[in-house]
Amino acid sequence: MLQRDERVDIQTSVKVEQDEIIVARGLRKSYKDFEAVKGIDFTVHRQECFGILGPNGAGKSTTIKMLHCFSPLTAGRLVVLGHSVTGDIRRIKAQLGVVSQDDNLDSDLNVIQNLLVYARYFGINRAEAHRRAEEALELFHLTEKRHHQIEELSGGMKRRLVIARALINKPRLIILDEPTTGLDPAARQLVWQKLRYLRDSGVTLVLTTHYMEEAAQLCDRLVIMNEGRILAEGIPTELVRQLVGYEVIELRIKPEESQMTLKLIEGRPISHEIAGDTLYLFGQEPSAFHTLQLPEVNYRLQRRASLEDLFIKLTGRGLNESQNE
Amino acid sequence: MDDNYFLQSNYLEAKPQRWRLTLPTPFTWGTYRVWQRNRDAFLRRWKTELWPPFVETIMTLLAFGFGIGVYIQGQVEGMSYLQFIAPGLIMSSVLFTATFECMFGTYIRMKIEKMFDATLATPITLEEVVSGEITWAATRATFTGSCVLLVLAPLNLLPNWWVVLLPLLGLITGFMMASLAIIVTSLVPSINAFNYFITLGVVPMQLFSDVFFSVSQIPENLRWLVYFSPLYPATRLARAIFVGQMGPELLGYLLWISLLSLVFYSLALRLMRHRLIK
Repeated sequence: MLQRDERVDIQTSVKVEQDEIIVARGLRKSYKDFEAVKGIDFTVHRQECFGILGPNGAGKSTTIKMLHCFSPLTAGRLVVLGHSVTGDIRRIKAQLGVVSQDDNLDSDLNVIQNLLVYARYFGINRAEAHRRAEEALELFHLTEKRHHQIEELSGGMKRRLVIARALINKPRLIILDEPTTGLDPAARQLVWQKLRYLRDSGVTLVLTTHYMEEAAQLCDRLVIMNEGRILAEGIPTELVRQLVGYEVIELRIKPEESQMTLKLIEGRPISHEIAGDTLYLFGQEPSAFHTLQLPEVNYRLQRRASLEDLFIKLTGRGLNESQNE
Repeated sequence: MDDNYFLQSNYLEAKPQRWRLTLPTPFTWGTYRVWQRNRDAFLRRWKTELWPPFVETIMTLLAFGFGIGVYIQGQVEGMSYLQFIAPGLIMSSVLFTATFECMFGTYIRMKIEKMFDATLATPITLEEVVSGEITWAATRATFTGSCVLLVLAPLNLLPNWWVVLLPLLGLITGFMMASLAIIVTSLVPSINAFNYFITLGVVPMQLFSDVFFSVSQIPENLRWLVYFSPLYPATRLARAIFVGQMGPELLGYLLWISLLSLVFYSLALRLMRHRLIK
C-alpha cells in the first residue's frame, strides 16, 4: 500500500493530495448526438458528503456513471480513490459502494442471499460475508426480514437493502444516485440518518438529488449543475448567502402594483425577481427588510433564503424555458 | 487474500479500442462468481426447475417414439426409429435450454431487473457477467440433456458405454448455443423480438438438423443449408457416440463446433459491451 502524502497519477498526471477522494478535471461525456457533460472540475475530500444537484437532464447521472467506472470518459481526467478510472478499475471498484437510482436487487434470491452473493463478487470469504451481512441488516433495521423475498419488502426497505448491500465491501467511498426518490417522508428521514451515520464513521459520500431538502440535510459541500456544466460550488449556507441573500419575501401581486413596490425598495440592499404572479424580494443583508412597509396583499411570506431559491435562480424556473421556445 | 483476489483474474482487461484482437476466456474467478449466483438462484427454485426435463422427455418419447415411430417399421441408418431420434433429442434439449436461458433469462436480468448494473458496480467485469451467463446456461443445458439420457436408460436405448461422453458434448454444444443466444439478446430492441430468432432460428435448427429424420432425405441441392445449422454437427457427433461408431471423421465435427463456439462467444462479448457500455 502506498502511503505517501502526495502522489502523481502517472496516467493522468493529476496531482492527488492524500485526502482527495475524487479529483475531476475537464471531465466530458458525449453521446452520439449530444454532449451530456461539458467539461467539469471538482474535488471531493475525505469524509465529506458531496452533493451534485441539478434538474433532470443536467448531467448528474452521467457524471455518477463515470465516477463509478461504468461509462468511459470522452475527455478529461478523473482520479477516484487514488486511481485513474482509465486504469485498473478493479482497484477502484473494490473500495467503492454504489447505490443506483433503481432498486436493482436480485429477486431470485432472498434478503440475506442478496448480501452474501454480492459479498462473493468482492471475494469476501463465507464467514466474513455472513458477519458483515448481519451487521449491515442490523444497521438498516432489516434483521427480521433476513429470509424474506425481495417482493415482500416495502419501497423503503428495498432502498435500505440496496444501501446495506453497498456497504458489504466496507467501501471508503459510496456513490448514491437519487437515494430517496420515491420514498415516503419517514423512510427518507431514516435513510438520511443512516447516511449521516456513515459519513460520521469515516465514509465519503457523493450523492445526486433534486430534492433541495435532502441536499440541505446531508451535504457538506455541493455543486449545482445545469445542461452539463457546473454553475456553482461551495458550502450550501454560504452559497445561498452569496448568491441569493439572507431573507426572502414572496408577494402575490398584480403587475401594476409590483412597480409601486419596486419603488419602495429602491436604495435598499434588496434584489428582486418577478416570476408569473409572484414578486420575490431577496434581502442581501441581515436587516435588509427592517422598517420596510409593503402594501397589503392577500399572500405574503417572509422566510430565510434557502437552497431552493439558489437552485431556481441558477437553473431557471422552467417557465422562462417555455417562454423562450 | 482479498486484496489480490482481483488480480488473479486472467481476463485481459477490456480496452476502449474497439477492434483490438484479444482472446477472451471464460475461465476467470469473476465468471465463476456469476455462475455461482445463477446456480444459487436455480437451486432456490429447484421444485419448479428439476422435474420439467424428465416430464418433457417422456412426453416427447411418447409422441415421437411410440406415436409416430409406429408408422416407421423399417430402420433408419441401421437402427430403430426410437434409437435414431434419441441422441438428437438430447441435443435439441441442450439447444432449447441454453437458448432460452440466455435469451429470456439474460434479458430479464439485464433489462428488467437491472441486475447487470448491480454486478458491474463490483470488481466483476462486463465480460465476466456475460461469460457467467453463458457458462451457466451451458451447465443447465448439460443438466437437461443428462436428464433426457437418464429417461432413455431404462428403455434400453443406451447401446454402449461411450454415452458417458454425451454430457461433455452437451456442455460444449450448450456453450455454443448460449453464446449464439447472447448475440441475439444483445441485438433485440424488446423481449418480443425473440420470436424472430425462435421461429426462424431455433425451430428450423431443431427440425432440419438430423434430429427427427436423416439428412439424406433432404434433396441434394438443398442439403448444404443443413450444414449451416450449428446443431447439425452436434447431432451427428451425439449419434456416433450413442451407437459407439467412433471414428476419425468425428474430429471434423468437433473442430467445427469448437470454432463456432469461439466465434459466437467472442462476438457475444463484443456485442454485449457495445449494447451496455455507453
